[in-house]
Amino acid sequence: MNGDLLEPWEPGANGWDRAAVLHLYRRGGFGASPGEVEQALSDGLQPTLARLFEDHTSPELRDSIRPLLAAGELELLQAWWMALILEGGAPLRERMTLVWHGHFATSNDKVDDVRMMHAQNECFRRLGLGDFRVLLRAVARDPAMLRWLDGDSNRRGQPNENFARELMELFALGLGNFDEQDVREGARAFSGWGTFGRSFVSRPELHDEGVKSIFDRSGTWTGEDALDLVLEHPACARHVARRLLQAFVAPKVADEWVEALVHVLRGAGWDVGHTLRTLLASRLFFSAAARRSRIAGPVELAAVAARGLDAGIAPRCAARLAADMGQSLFRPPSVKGWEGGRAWIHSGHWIARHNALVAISAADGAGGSDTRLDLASLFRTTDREELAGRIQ
Amino acid sequence: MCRCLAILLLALLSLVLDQEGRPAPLATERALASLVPQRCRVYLEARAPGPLLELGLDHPFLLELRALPLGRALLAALERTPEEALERADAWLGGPALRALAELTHRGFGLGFDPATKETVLVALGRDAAAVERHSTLALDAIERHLGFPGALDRPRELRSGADVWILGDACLARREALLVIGNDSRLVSETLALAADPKGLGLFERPGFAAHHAERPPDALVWAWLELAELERHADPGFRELRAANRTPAGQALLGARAAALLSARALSATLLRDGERGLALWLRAFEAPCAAALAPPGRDGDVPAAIGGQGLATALVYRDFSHYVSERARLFPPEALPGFAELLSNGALFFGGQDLGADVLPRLSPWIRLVSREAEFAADRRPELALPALAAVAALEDQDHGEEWVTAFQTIVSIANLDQAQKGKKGLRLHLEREGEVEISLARFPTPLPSDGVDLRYNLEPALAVVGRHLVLGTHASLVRELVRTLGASPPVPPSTTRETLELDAPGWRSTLERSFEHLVARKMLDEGLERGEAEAEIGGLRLALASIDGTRLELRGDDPAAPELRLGLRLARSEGQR
Repeated sequence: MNGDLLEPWEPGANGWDRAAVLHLYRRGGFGASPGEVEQALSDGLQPTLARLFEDHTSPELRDSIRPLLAAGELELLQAWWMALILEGGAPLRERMTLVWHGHFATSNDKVDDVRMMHAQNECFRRLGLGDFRVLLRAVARDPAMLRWLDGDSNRRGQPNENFARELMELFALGLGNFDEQDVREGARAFSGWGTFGRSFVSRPELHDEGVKSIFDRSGTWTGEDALDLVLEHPACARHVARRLLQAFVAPKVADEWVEALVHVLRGAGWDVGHTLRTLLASRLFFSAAARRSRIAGPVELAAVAARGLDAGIAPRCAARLAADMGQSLFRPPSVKGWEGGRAWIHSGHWIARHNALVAISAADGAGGSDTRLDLASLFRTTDREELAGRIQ
Repeated sequence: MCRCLAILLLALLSLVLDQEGRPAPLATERALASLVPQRCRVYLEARAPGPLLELGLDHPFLLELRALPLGRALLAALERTPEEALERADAWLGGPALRALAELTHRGFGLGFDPATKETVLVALGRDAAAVERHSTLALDAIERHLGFPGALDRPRELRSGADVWILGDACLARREALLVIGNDSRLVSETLALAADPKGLGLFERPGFAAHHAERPPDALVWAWLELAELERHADPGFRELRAANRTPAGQALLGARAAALLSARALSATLLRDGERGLALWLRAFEAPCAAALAPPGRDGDVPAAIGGQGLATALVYRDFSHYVSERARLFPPEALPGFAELLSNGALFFGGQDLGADVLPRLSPWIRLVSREAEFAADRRPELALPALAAVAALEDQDHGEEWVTAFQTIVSIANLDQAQKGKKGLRLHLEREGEVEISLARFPTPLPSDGVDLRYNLEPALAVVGRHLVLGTHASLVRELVRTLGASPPVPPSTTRETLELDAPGWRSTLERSFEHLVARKMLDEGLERGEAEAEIGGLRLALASIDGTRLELRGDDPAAPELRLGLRLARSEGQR
């Protein structure tokens, strides 16, 4: 792969086939229904790509969470998000929301507040395809994140380093791009940032106003300043680009891919949507190195299977299946998020994956089952090529 | 001489053979259930549907039902109106269908079901032999016409036990005098006909307990049924078995009480459906052989009954729960796996009640009669939950007013311990408060008022409170209801029980307004739980809304002096239709 790997992919006469369509839909969304595949084959790459960026989420579904939040049940929030994913109204937006949920991993096990988790989820949805700098600043002030990483106990004289450390290590820079002093000084800069009820609050009386030195730059830095310093760090764009490549292209990312995408990201003014528009249409994205290179996460697997088979699975059931397979939404195992990759298919999860796929494909909606699937009609075709494509 | 003797013998023989071919006429007083083979473990009977069928769609009760919101909605969902459906039935039969049905079932009909073989038989006694012949012939002709078998049913296929028998695939139809038998299995129909031919045939009356329950069915019952639950259990799914076993669990007993729980585990149940006044329907369930009820029945500890509570409410109930009996006799009453739970309860009880033994000291001083009240809670403006739920309170009678203090202490201890648990999880706890209502002190606990921007969660429905009013102990989920009950109870003392029965009354309009408040929540939940579109979810919840709009209230009463034969009476008052309001 040479330097023009992010150049637009030219499918040629036979390149834009069922496999290419499914690859695009699996990565840029959560799979495609048989109808969407046919439509994509007929429309071509660019219109299909444009469709991934659109948002046709039904307002009724989007609003259905409002009356449920007061109940404080996490399962309902999980089911609601799964419903948005299964509906496929905003494929890339939901995909990106899940990517950011894994990146800025926050668990309700500690936050213990469904409204806060919902607010964070909406933040990812709203800003996830926009300017990364805006997103990072919003996440730093997000009440769920502050509670998760102990913002309330970060105060003058008693800095809590949790947020500053994860900001540098996981969210924006990556290991090797900062040292312990940067973390300590960064924590001082964020002192006073906390929550009041379910809102963000900055308490000047708890803020350390002294001089801090972050990345060898000294000043009376505030939290906002610390975020600017992190965003200005050369490693930041590389970290974000690597993350996007791992999520959309392949788990093993070549350095040249990162450099190429950093160029796009910076050129687009940190606009993630614009960057993805380039990436998802690129030669790299459709290359052999990218295709079939990722092991699907449980949410992705359940949604892709259900949508691909047109199986009418109840959102709550799909969310539960994903949890059984090791990905309980809003409950990542640690601040590092889900390990992913081969961890999705260790022996315990493998059995759950098998059983989940059986549940999705074998049920016919009768007898109180949560899924409705007409396998007979799905495989009615006698065309072996077409059948192979459907299975694919 | 020999020739004359032979002729005489032949004549006698023919007479005997004729007697065998034609059994004695069916006695007019013959009970329908005596014609149903005893292997049928489910039986349903309507004694005289004729007058009801003759009025048909003009029956006043039916008109009443059709005018209700639920009736109107159901009619609107039908492909054709009942009048059109009836017209089609008349056209199909070639005569008035309801009239024919009334004639064929003039003296009643019974339906028997054998759960082991899934076979069903229907026996009907018509007005007289001529009417049955006329109308059944009309039906057979119609079947011939519509199924394209001209002449196939002109004559019966065979004669069995004196009855003409027609076979239609798996179905079998037999006619003998005024008796009509229809079944989905020829053998079951034969057994029925054999019973009819035997003047001493008892049929279901041979089943234990059947005769006594059958004899006591009210004369005006619309439908009467007999269900042998123990036999059904052998062929039912695990859920049914678990339901029957609930009688032996502490949770089942606490929730349902000894009598209601015993209904589930009885050997058999009789059920009666009847009209209750102009706009009422009643369902009576009576148990036969409910041995668990005897074991769990009160051992004679009556105790006082809390004073009656006036005023409207979503639900009011008077229940008998002898918790001290449950605790002291736990090893005898409940399965071994329930006992560790009791040990935990006693241990916690000692913690809450200053080291006293819950079973020996605390609960025996509390009357087993408990009054339950559910009403809308009153919330402060800044504490009204987005999903406001009704409050529930329990009122019990104390043996002595002095024992109230230990309950107040226990209440406050429970809140404190719950707060410790919450604090360990980093959650906000309840704050304890003392308020006065007249001379009565109310202990209560509430969460801190939330910030205006944070919303008011479901947990704000919980504002537990406890008060001791004379010898009454009042415990509620929300302080506003406890305050209201303190005012209502005033100086009224508990009363000794006389013919007190366990009762539950529900106010449908009140529940309807609760449903309206929760409508959006329920619809959204259904969408996510079942993957429904909003319209579908609305329609499903809407069904419940219509049902509540169609009834005024329900009353449930537990009767039966014999603890092994408890009886539950459920009454349903229909709402007045819009024209009547």
